[in-house]
Amino acid sequence: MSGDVSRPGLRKGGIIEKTKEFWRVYSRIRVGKIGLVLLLIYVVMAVFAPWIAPYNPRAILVGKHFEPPSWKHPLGTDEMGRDILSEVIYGARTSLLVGILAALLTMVIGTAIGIASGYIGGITDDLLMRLTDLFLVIPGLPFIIVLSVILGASIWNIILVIALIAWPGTARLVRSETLSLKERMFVHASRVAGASDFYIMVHHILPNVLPIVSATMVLNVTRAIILEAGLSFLGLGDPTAISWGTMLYFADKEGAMLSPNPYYIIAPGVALMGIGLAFVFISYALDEVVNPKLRQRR
Amino acid sequence: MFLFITIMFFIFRLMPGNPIGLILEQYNLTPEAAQRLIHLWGLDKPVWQQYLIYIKNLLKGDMGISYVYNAPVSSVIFSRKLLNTLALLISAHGMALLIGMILGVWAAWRRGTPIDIGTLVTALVLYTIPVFWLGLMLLMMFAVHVHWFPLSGTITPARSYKDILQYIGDYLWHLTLPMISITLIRLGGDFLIMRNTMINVVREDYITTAIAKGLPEKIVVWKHAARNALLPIVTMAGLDMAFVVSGAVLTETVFGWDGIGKLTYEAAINRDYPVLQGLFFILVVVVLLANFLTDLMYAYLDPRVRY
Amino acid sequence: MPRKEVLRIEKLKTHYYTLGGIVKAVDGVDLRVYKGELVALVGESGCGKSTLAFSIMGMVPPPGRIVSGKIYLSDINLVELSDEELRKIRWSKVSMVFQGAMNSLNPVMKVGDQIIEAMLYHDVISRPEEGRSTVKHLFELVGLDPNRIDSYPHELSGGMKQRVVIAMAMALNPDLIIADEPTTALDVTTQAKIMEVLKDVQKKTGVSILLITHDLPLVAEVSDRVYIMYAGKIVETGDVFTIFKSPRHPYTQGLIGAVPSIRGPKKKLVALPGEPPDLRFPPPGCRFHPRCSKAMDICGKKEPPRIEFGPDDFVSCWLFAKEGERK
Repeated sequence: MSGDVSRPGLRKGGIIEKTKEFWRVYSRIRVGKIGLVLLLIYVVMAVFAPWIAPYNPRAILVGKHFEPPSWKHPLGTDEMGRDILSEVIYGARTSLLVGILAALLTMVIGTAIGIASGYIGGITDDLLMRLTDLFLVIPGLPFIIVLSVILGASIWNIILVIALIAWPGTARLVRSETLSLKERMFVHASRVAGASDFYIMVHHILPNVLPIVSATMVLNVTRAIILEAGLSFLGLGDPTAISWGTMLYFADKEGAMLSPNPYYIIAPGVALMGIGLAFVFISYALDEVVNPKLRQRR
Repeated sequence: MFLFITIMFFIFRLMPGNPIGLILEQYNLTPEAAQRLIHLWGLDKPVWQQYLIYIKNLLKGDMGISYVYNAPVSSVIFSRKLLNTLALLISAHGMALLIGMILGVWAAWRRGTPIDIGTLVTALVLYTIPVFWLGLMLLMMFAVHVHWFPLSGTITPARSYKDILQYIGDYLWHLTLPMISITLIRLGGDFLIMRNTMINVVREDYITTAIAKGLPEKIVVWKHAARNALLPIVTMAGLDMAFVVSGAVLTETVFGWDGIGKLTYEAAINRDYPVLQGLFFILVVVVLLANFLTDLMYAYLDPRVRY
Repeated sequence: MPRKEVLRIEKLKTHYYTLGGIVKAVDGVDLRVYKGELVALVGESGCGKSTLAFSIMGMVPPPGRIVSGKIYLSDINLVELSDEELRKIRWSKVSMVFQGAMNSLNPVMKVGDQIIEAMLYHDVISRPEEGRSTVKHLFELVGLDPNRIDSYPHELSGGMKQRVVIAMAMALNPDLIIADEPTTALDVTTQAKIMEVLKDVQKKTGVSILLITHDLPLVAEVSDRVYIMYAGKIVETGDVFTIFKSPRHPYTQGLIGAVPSIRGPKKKLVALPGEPPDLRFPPPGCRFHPRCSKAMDICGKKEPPRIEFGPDDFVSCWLFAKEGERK
């Protein structure tokens, strides 16, 4: 490939052509399309919640306590007589917000540390990797529990805390990519031409690690969503947000299991599973596109 | 390691909410009694002095006294709780690894067939289910609707046992549902890793040679291919220890399983830092130990690696 | 005196049924190997040599399968056998030395055990310990230190691994060893050594060898007879002197011309123009005609007849057909 000496891959060709080519490969993968459709449903739910949801999710006593499903309340009502369908629809907002922002933050921290560590090397590399190892051995959820008790329960703190525990994986991946990119021709060429280290990191290394990072980022979204749900399920979620985890916390606490409305437990879980599946499918398809090695040979 | 202990110490000191305040409310202590407690626990000294005392005691194996249980941290942690957690985690992860590996090998060998694809999709679905929700569902189905399994706890309260076997039976009966939830959740991931590595191993020349040697298919798959495919999953199992603990917290809470996970959660809620510090210390030691064991396992499985 | 046939292939067709079309990797091949012979099968990569080898071993990878034809291995037609019968024949009657010897040993098993295993599952021995003395004998046969029996592959050099692989191929005393490019990926001196070992083993045991290669100087040096394969078909065969002294098929001439020879009269270096054809859509008539310097009209229309000059000595080319047949 002659592309090695020229500018890194992402910039070559128009962005439109790149996107087209990407879509051509992506659209051949069936799970990838299923994942996108699923995700679209959730995005619509989150964005248009006030128009789709039949009731205000916070309004109590729109029905009786633990009402089983009916035409009025397709998924029944909870212990306070709130409409569960409306709560589930609004819950998509919290999950998507936490999942995407936490994964983005994870990506920013992980990529920055990974590139810095891999490109600069030396003592910086040693220190940063020591730090990464330290965070890798910390048990995730217990640490998050403790931090959220310290910082107090709010969506922003949850996002911060999840990113704080999730970045080492990305940092490791980016560092090893950077190490191999560093030795490539275009980086050497650029250095000889007098580009500063910072310029090289931002303009040469970053665009080339992004495709791989983006595939893992999608998986990080799933992880963040499940972590948020777990935290909320323990009663440590943001009490002002409507979250599927918090719903399950109250469902468990208020004995929904023994109540006439089991959908109080089933619905939020199915919602969680669906969104997780959407991102897992998309990440699977992205992996196939980004790492052509994995594509079936012959 | 040392750095870790230090960071933990200061993080816990930063926790808002005065533990004494909580205890005062709970036990209606007089201010004088509270002062005595504070003095006893050394909370009236400056933070740096508390830190030095902590480190000194830790080196002696003394992790302090629990604010809530009012007992030495070590006796709170190294108790039945630890045994309960070990029983749960070891049985569940053992099962998940075993089944995941067998299914992974089997699916990879029949790559592309409907059975393979069916198993693959099931695994992806399992991978995305939140463990606590699966626990709730299992409880609802098997403990509430049909009374096959108990709702919570590790043994039936206030029951007398004729002999030890009956006790073990009761314990296992309580163990079943939490174990199944962790097993199912882990199964998906273990299967995916095993299948992926197997697919690559099957393409290797030594597998072609093994077939050419006229070995029975079973021997080719299990003795030649599977053995080589074991390496990555062993690594993952070791590195995932930190993740395993997270699952334990949620599962133990759902099933009221009296173990370390539940203890962690309660200690955090009650701001019982000596216990939390002790727990984190133990957990990190366990994770490091698991990594060490992984390395040993690796050396055993791959003759190219020798320490 | 008629020589004993070890392998006889008749009109064998092995095709791959891929999504892009049917790949006719082996398309009507006849081939014979007699006892104690070293026969070379020569052709460019991708001409179907390896597929032919896999067909003989009865392990054509899917989506490929043997479509028609017969493969006789000392009077047993392999094509008709069940999987289990095939498994038993494999290695006991015909064994194989693969291309990348480095990679054909399992990295996590001791080399001795990998040989013993073959004996164990062919019921030659009933307990692994019984095989150890045989393995040590085999190691001596290929010039390896018998104490290497408990080594792991990574502890051996490339040449030593190759010797292990040859020893392994001899484990069950087969009638035939198929050696598929056995010396690629080795340095030149090791290559020569390994071929020496193979020849030596043959001299001592009388095993027949089918050598699959594109290395012509090697063929000239070691083989008794030669088959030239092009695009799934045998285009010419004969003893090694006929093939190298007076090649008849233009393809053979091209191949031999492409190899610079040190000894003998200076020959003109004729590189073969063009690329081997896509086996999904082979050219009509003679498959070589688009690259042939002597192509005539008929070559692109009708498949050339087989012109026999003697037993196991033929060429498939219109140049040698009688004037009247060329119409």
